[in-house]
Amino acid sequence: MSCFWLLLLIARLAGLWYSCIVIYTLMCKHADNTQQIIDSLNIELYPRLQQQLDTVLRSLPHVEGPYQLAIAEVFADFRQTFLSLAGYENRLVFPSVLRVFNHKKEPKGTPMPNVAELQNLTKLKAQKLLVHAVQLERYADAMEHSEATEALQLLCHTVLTDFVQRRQDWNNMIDERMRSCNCFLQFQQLLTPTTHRHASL
Amino acid sequence: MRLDGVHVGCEQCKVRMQSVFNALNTEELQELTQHKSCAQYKKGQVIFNEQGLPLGLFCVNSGKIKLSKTGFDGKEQILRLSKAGDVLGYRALLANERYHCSAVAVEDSMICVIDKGYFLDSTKQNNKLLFEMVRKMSSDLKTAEDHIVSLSQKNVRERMAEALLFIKATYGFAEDGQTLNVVLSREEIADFVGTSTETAIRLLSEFNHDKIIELVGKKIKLVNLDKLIKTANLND
Repeated sequence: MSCFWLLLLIARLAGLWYSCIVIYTLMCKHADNTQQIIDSLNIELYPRLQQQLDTVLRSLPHVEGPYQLAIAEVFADFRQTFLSLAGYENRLVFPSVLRVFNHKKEPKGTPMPNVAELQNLTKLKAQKLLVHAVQLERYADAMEHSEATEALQLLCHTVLTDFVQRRQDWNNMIDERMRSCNCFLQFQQLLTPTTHRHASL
Repeated sequence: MRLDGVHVGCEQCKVRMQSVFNALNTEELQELTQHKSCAQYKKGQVIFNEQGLPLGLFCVNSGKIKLSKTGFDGKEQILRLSKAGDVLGYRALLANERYHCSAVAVEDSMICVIDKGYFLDSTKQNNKLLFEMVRKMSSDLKTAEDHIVSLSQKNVRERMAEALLFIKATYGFAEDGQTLNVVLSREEIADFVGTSTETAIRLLSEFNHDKIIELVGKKIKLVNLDKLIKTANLND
């Protein structure tokens, strides 16, 4: 259960009806669902992908044949792109989206992140990952079956199925909020200059 | 030997001194002439193909040759360009392997091919020739290593530009519409880019020099956003 519903339940059980109203008004109604999608990426999918990447990395030295060098090059870029995507999302994108959803808690005039721009940057990274996954899968399919090709195929399968699906859910959710949710409609006007002394990453 | 209808021995070759055969004496050059044949290649003509078996060592007398390799996706990757005086196909010949790349004339060229057996025997017997071959291989290796380094540096430049775009999207600009609305340490920026602090400092300095950004104390001003986006190469 998310923090929002837990807080609401505690407040209700304690008979703090005023607190219930405050908690509800402070949070965007979509924020709860957003955290779930973030968790499905950040806590479930990305660690699984990381594990599969490690397995491929360990088996790569045993890859032989004409595509050895090409696989190593594409995989290195794939890994770098994935780590970068996960890093940016974890440290900048996810907190930014949640911040925008919960912007009512912040003082009026506080500068807000540009979620559309962040989404665009991460979409490009995700697209690059898909291109690499397709390429790696073709290499793996063209090679003799081995532990390495199996690990590579599993990684590509995860990217081309789960990763695609969950990112689509994430993008659809953001797109839908951008069209309909007040949070997104309002935050653009809140971009007033105030220098962060030192951003907590 | 016949070059453009003129009989020319290796001892008269104009580019000999730039080739691996520069140390051979007249007698050795005359012997070399007996074990080679020369041919004119038109622009676009293939000299040897990827996966082909090497039958001899190619020596460029005139013109330019492109050495390229085809990726799995059919995309051509140029490895290097060879000019007059260069030798081609020595790697496959010495390693006793098939060619790992193709050679194509990028302009009308004159190329001699030296018999495989004769060349291998000569390198075993002639220390000067062997030394010149090692020197040539070392030089090509350096070129390849420089290429790898420049590729990885290009990559880290792209990543730095991308990091600045992420930071801009997250924190926005200050009042002037150019200065990033956040103060990040060089270590934090390096962490985003996935590089060392030293490299991050050098890259920021390069961007500053290239007038993409302006470093104002600890703050970063994005003075040329278009150039920054181009540097990030996001659509690659």
